[in-house]
Amino acid sequence: MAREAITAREVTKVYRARGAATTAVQDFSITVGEGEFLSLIGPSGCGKSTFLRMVAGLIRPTAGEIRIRGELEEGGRERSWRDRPLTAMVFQEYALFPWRTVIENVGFGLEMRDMPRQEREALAARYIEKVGLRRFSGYYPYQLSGGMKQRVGIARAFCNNPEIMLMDEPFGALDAQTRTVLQQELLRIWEEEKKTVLYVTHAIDEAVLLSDRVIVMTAQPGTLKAVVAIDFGRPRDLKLKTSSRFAELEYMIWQLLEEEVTRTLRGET
Amino acid sequence: MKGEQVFSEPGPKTPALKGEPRSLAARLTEGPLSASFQILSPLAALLVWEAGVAAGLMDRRFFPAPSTIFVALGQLLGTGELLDHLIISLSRMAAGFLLGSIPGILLGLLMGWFRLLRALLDPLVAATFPVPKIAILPLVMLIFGIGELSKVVIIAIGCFYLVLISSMAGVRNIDPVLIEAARNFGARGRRMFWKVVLPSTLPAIFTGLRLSLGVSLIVIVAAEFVAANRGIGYLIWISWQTLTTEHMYVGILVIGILGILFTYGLERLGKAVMPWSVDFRTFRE
Ligand SMILES: Nc1ncnc2c1ncn2[C@@H]1O[C@H](COP(=O)(O)OP(=O)(O)O)[C@@H](O)[C@H]1O
Ligand SMILES: [Mg+2]
Repeated sequence: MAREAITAREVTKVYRARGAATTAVQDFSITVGEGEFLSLIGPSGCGKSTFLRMVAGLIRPTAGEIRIRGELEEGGRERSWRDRPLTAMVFQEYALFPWRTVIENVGFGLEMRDMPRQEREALAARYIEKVGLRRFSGYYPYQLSGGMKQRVGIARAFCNNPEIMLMDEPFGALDAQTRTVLQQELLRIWEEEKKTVLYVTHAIDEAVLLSDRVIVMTAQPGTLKAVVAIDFGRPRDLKLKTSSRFAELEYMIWQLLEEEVTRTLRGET
Repeated sequence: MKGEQVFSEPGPKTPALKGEPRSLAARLTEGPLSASFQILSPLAALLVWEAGVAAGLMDRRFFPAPSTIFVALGQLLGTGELLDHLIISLSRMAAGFLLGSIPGILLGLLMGWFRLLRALLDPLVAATFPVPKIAILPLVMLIFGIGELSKVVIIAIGCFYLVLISSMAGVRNIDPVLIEAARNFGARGRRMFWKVVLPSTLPAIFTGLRLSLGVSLIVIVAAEFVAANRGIGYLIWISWQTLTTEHMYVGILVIGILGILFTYGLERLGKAVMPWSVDFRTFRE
């Protein structure tokens, strides 16, 4: 891990709605290395999405600081997002634009950066090819299955060539088989592109399979509970799941999580 | 990579496979037979009507036989009188429709997007919208005279509200995650508005336009009843006064046909503008 891509220092987020205040994230500090695949795992409502949205700059932390490498160029000048955006997000709900075809969705970020049409379409086509959707590039989202939609979501994010990929339970809405296929595809694409990925999931096996490190978060208000290094080499594939080390890591993470999940469930009743 | 199942291919509904047995209902309501099947019940009604008048069961002063009405239609077409009425009514409607809907769309989008503007104007809209447009026709005539302008204005007012309210609701109903995605991928300001807000709101705008066309028809007829010497509404009204009932029916028939054509035309336009919209396929209830 040569350099740090993301540094979060004592980040706190308090939501205020009609007098009631919810502390979603509290004093959360992590660093993500350049080129690292890092997963956040934690009980639902512990602030994982909130943290990702703060990294994406969609909402601001109430306290603390998040720095992204490349935010400032040498000399401290703020970098233009037109050259290269800091983040690109993949959403659990896909969030594709229904009025745009697959290729227009994938090229959306480039279009916002004023890339000429031909160049943009050539680049978008390359990423559509990477996710195996070449035949579908003229299709509208309503004509695609969930798995295909999320492939478009992934292509759209990689195509925009961000400093950091943010993925919020990208396969959370998919059936188990589709999810397994997409995990493998993601591994393959990620190994080609070598991007820094901040990944949110609630599936322990997914976290172990994909990540270099797994961050376990506490129940709401979410903060750091433990860091688990996943010491498998790369490239990886599904066969990893048959190793005893895989099961060991899964069980270890579950033990860390169990208390937090129980706490969350008790809090809800 | 294996392709996954595609839920629906573009284009018309998939036809049944060759040799696959089809039910009677399917054969009558889909494919080449469907058009003839659909006119069956209206045709039967006309036949019963015709027979009822011939047998003296219906009073021909109120219910002239369909054949009489069609003869009257032929006459009015022949003299060019009907076309005259039609053109003047259509121009009034077109002018009022454009004058009302374009500002309605723009203000609706802006009120949907900018909270402050909405908070400022919504009470005014909510308070004035429920007033039936016919109720203010005399007032509009007082202000704009009894010429063309008052008819255009009253239609414009009717369209304006409907389009404004639907486009505002359309903006309010945009899935917030789409806005987040657009922001994350660099859409800001005007580009957010034209490339994201407007397209997501199109189906709602079209719903507003469809409602407006219906209201325009009602309002133009009412306005031409009381203050016009040309137009389809005038034709209906004057036929009542002169007791030429068959002309009255011709007017009613023309209005009905206009209603059908408008709905159909807008549906076609909607499909052309929004080939991506699933909602829009349910446009025809
Ligand atoms: N916009 C918001 N306004 C108020 N509370 C929110 C908002 N978004 C999330 N929360 C609350 O913050 C907490 C963390 O939410 P979230 O980040 O979505 O959790 P996770 O993604 O880990 O399930 C939850 O208690 C949630 O109810
Ligand atoms: Mg979440």
